[in-house]
Amino acid sequence: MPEIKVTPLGAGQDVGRSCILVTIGGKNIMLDCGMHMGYNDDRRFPDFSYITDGPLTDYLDCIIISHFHLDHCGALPYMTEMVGYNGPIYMTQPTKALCPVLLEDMRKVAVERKGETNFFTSVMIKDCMKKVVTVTLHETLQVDSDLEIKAYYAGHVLGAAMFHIRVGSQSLVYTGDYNMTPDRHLGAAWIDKCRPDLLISESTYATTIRDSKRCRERDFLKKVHDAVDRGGKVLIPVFALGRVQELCILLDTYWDRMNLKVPIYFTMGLAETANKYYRMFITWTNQKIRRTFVHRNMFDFKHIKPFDKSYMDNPGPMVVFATPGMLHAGLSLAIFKKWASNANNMVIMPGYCVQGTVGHKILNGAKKIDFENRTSVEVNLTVEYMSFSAHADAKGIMQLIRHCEPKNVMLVHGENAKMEFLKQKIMQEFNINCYKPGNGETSIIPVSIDLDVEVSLPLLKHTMALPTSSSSSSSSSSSSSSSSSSSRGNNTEENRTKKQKVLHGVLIMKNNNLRIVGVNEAWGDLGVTAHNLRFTERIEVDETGPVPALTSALHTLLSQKLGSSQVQAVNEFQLSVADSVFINIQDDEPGKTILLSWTHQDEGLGSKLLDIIKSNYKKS
Amino acid sequence: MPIFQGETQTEVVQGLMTLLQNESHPPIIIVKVLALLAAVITTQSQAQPVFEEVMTVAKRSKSQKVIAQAIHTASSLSQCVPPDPKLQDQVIQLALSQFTSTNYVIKVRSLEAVGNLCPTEEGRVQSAIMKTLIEHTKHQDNRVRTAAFNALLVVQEREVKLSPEVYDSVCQALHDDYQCVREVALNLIKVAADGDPERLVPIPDSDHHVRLVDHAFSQICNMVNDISVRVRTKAASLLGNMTSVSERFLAQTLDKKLMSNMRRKRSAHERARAMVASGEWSTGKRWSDDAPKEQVEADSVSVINTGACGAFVHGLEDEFLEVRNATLDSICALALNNSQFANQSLDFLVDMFNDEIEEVRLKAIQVLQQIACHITLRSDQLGEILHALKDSSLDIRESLHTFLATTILSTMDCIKLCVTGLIDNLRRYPQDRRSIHRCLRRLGSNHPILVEALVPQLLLIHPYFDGVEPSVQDGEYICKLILVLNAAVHCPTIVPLLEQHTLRHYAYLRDTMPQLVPVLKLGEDWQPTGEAVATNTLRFLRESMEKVANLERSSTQMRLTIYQIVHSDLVKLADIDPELSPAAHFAALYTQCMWLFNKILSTRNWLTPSSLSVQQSGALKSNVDQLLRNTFRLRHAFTNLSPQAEASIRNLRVRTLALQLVYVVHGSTGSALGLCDNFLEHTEALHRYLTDEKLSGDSFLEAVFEELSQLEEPRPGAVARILQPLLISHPVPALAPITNPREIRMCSAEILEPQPDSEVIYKLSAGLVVGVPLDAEVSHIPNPSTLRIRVAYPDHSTHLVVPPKSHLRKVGPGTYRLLTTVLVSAQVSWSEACQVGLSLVLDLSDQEVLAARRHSVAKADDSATTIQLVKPVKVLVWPKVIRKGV
Repeated sequence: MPEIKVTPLGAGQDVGRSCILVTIGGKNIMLDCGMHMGYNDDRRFPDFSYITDGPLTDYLDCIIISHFHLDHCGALPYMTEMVGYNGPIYMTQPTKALCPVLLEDMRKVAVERKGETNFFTSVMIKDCMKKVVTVTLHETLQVDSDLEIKAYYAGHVLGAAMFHIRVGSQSLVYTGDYNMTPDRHLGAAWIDKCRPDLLISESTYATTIRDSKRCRERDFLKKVHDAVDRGGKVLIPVFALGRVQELCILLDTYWDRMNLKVPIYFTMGLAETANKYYRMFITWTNQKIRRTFVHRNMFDFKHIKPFDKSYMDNPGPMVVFATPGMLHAGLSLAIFKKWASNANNMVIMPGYCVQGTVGHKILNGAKKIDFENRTSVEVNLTVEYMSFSAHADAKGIMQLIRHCEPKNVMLVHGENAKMEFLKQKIMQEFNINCYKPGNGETSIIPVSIDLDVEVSLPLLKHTMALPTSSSSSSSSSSSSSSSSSSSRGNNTEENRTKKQKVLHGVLIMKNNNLRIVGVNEAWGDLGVTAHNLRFTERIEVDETGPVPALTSALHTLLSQKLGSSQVQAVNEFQLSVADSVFINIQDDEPGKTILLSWTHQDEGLGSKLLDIIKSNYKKS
Repeated sequence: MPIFQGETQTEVVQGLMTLLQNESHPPIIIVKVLALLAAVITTQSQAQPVFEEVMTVAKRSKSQKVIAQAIHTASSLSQCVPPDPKLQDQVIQLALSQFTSTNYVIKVRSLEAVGNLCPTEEGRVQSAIMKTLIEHTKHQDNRVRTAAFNALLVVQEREVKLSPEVYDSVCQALHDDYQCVREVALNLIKVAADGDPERLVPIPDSDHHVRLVDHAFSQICNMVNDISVRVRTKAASLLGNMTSVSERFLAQTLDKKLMSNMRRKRSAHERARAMVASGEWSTGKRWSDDAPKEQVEADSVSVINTGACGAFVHGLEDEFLEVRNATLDSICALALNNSQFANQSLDFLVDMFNDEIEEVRLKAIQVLQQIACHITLRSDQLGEILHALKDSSLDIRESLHTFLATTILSTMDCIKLCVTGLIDNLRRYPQDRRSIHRCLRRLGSNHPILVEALVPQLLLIHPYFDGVEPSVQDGEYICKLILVLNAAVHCPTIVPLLEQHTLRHYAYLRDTMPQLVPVLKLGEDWQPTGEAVATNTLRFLRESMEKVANLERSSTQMRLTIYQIVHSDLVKLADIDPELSPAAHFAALYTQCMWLFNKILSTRNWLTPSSLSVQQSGALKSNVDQLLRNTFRLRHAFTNLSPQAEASIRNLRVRTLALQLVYVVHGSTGSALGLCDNFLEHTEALHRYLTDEKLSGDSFLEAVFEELSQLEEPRPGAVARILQPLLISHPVPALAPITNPREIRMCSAEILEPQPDSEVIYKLSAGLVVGVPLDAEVSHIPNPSTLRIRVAYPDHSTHLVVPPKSHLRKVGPGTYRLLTTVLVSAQVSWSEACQVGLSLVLDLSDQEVLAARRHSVAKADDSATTIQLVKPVKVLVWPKVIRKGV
């Protein structure tokens, strides 16, 4: 039984460090190569030594990166440059553009701020990016002669894609992160009915069915508006790319509509670069932006100004977008420390927070946060959570499964307990197998294999023609096709294309391919001489007259029984029935002997003749 | 394909037939010929011979394309009027015999043919056809499947009853891989549900049954989640047509969390509700409320939409505006029939106010407006709605005003919110003033009791202290007054609450904006003067006209004086009584024309202008021009005239043209050929008109007809010679008494934007253009396509701009609203901002002066061919020098 082997090196029953190893049809593919935000030690990168002891290039056929979030591409330079991999890396154009921006930013934070050594360098990021091959949406790309990949739109962030991977008849879809509801700047994920053997889906929101998007947006705007109205400062920790662009569009248009004057700041630098790319990849955005960008590019914000560190202490209300999104380091944490004690202020967490981050702690209601350097901060400000992260909710996941109709589903990128819940639902709803391997655990998914068999055209034509001829020719012909046709009665002729038919032929396995050909053809092909198997029966009869008399009597008899067209007299001593059964009459004093001979294909006809003759010329 | 008539058509058919009979032509030509035949022939008598030939072609041909086209042509030929059942039988037989073919085109064409021709009465043929159709709904080729379903759809429309198994196979087809099949299957399901809504359909795996229409509804609901946009749009729009669906299913469409399971509906329904209450699914609004609770019973929850669950929620959240719009339309259609559903959908509609695309937002408001009669707003909902008043789009705000004017508010708070919202709106967008006033007027008269309680707050009335008297120029105060005064009509107890100055202001408002402020029953003191006096303007109008009519024997000087007096009287009358204003204008213009005629004809030597002094000839010329303009205006600016009035106008016009002709022939050296033609054309047209309407012309016209008929060749000189004595001998008749003075309409316009006293300067680079937003209301124009915007530049050059048709919206009978941007430009820079006049005119140059045009007598001045609707509004425009090097 062929199988697909899947081993998550990260993101198995976990969020962060997405890295899934797949073996399909003899090809080894790595899906995503991310890092974990919650750790600062070796655990942040996947354990590549698990894969093989030797060089990775020999073992892996390709790497596919679904989108530019660091938990999906963060370990890429480490792997390609420090561990060593020279094979192809596939990603979409926007991902390729934005990935190095984020990697560089992360490197700066790690090396320059935290003073880490043994981290990859800028040069390594550049070298790594040189190995990337870009994929456009819906383009089928041949990695090698057997392996092909195809990207589908996934929503989530700019350039996010789902990948359909096919080796021969086996296929799988890896969704990366995706979003089934459109938002302010991106469309919804879309896939066709590709019916893969396995769907590897993220399941961040496995137990959530979210309110309508507009409802959430309104709540968000209202909260922000109320906070600035009472003079508070609003901190929105975000990752530089993705959600923040959506929220910026949202606030920018809202400010425009409401004519608000409160400043909105946005940590520039990284975001500036990112916005530049967003303005460029308009084709990847949603209907609205695509329709209006000629008039005004929505990513040219009117009300959003660059942030400077000194603004942190400015009096009066303001709204600040600051990175990073989980309040685990950097500017957002610094601002949080400053503002946390004032009850007028507010922090809005627009997305998911990994365990261990400050964001996670305050969302769980911590009133006091301790930091590494023995300082601590009282949390007096309002903490709001707003699910803006663009992952599919339970309904969206189910919808995707329904759209692409996989034979098996695997859940990754989610919390174990929630996955278990969704797994039950999937198995019950679609009646298909669902897997959720942990990190380092290998799931083996058996797949049925389709064999391509070539059937010779003459044989097909011959078989297709059979029923029409069988109805007219003879019911005595013992082929099973005629029996099936008679059993169905006079079923309509037009419907015959739908009917199942038995096909007689020879299966030839040669040079790694299969062919079904007609018997005669096979003989010719294989150079085998045909052997005929004939049954012969001798019947002694008490007939006294001359041989030709018996012959003609027999001829008359058989013509009556079978129809005159079937029976032919070959000569005085010989009759032939349906060109294949021969009847010889021999003078064998005192009686005569009738010699009946038929091939084993005509078994039915032969035995029938035998019965007829026996019953009529029984030796008394 | 032009439609041929009679002879030509027969020839064409003959030609095509010979092409068809020639067997040597390649198939592609035969196909084209067959297609043309189908298009050309429409009657059965022609179809008969052609049909035979087509059938032989179908039998003879080997090309599959030809066979397919032959079937198609035969089918359409057999349907020519009147349809021939014999031919149709033949076609059916032909089509049925061709089903053995493996080619999809032939199959598709055959399916179409039998679908179109399927007999309505039951019988062998019908059952054979139905069987074939049903078989082909499972064909391997998607195009054949689509055609089969389409044929079934056609058959169903011919009221042939479809068997239940068809419905089942259609339901399966909803899961087809091809969108075209799914799309047509949706249509068929809808039609099937319409045909037999009450039939009970079994639910698989249970012994329960649902109504067919409910089942179909839930099937279509499922398709709102389809992959293809087209199918989703189709599904969303079809939902709106299924008004007979049960309430239970309807309610589900708006609930995303309600997980119903087709197998056990009722129990699942209840359990699901309990589940929502217990919060099994988190909303994503609160952190970590999505930790899984204990396992629920296995089959009680279904995440996938089986049934109608949340179809509209999904539709509204769709990525594509086409789907969202279709969903909104459907919600509207369903809510109109079901007030409970209307109230449920309210929140979702309000959510749509927040959509990113304006078109959708606008549609949401319009839907809300349509279902306003079913809903009562709570204050929180109203708050969200009023938010949209801050939107920068005019359309959205105005729709919202209309909505607020029709809706029913539940509490005092709501009214207060509304008023605050509208006043805030006025502050932000002063151009909304009229719309807001109208809205407040309706709001007041709809909620008198609620407004009463608010009066002291709104008008700042204090029991002991006198407040400051607000200014009547204050826009916000006027808004509040309109609200209160309109409520006071329905709630008399409001009036005693009002303070003295408020009542004074009432009198003022009643005078200045009578259509917004109703008549209140107040004490004698506060009644605006003139209100109660019977004005009798109608009698005045009649008397004035009689005065003119009775002048026949008086002296010329006397006449001229009286004409002038009556004219000015009537102009004043038009100002006083808006109802009679068009009629008064009409009469005034006519009187002025009479005056002009008399004036011109009484001028001595008017036929020999060379003998006149410069001053006199100038006056004469301007009089003639004025006369032409007046009659032109009379002719085109008024509608709804009685035939008599119309006839006398045309008479006057002809007479004026005659005068012009005579004047020109005598007075100038140029050619009068064009004028003569023009005159003759008008005369003839008038003659026809009079004959059609069975009216008699006046004596002048009779004489003209008579004289003209004796004329051999109408040369200008000859015609003028005839006309000259006639003009003098037949004085202008007075206007016949106007029979329907209140119904006459005069075209007019009002420019709301730009405001005349605006100080905004539109700056532009010379050579480029600048857009000036124009908002105007145009009423009673006979033909909207003749409307032009006239841009008059300071250098006296004028441009007529044709406004785009889409910018002209009909707002009422005969009334249009023009919302557009006028492009203003200048080639060279000006030293300072200058005034550019914008006005609206009717451009009738095509209709009226065609003959004159032909002879290029058109003048540079366009006033002869246009009718001004409104006084020009001046805007300041300043073209500046283009900065070099930019």
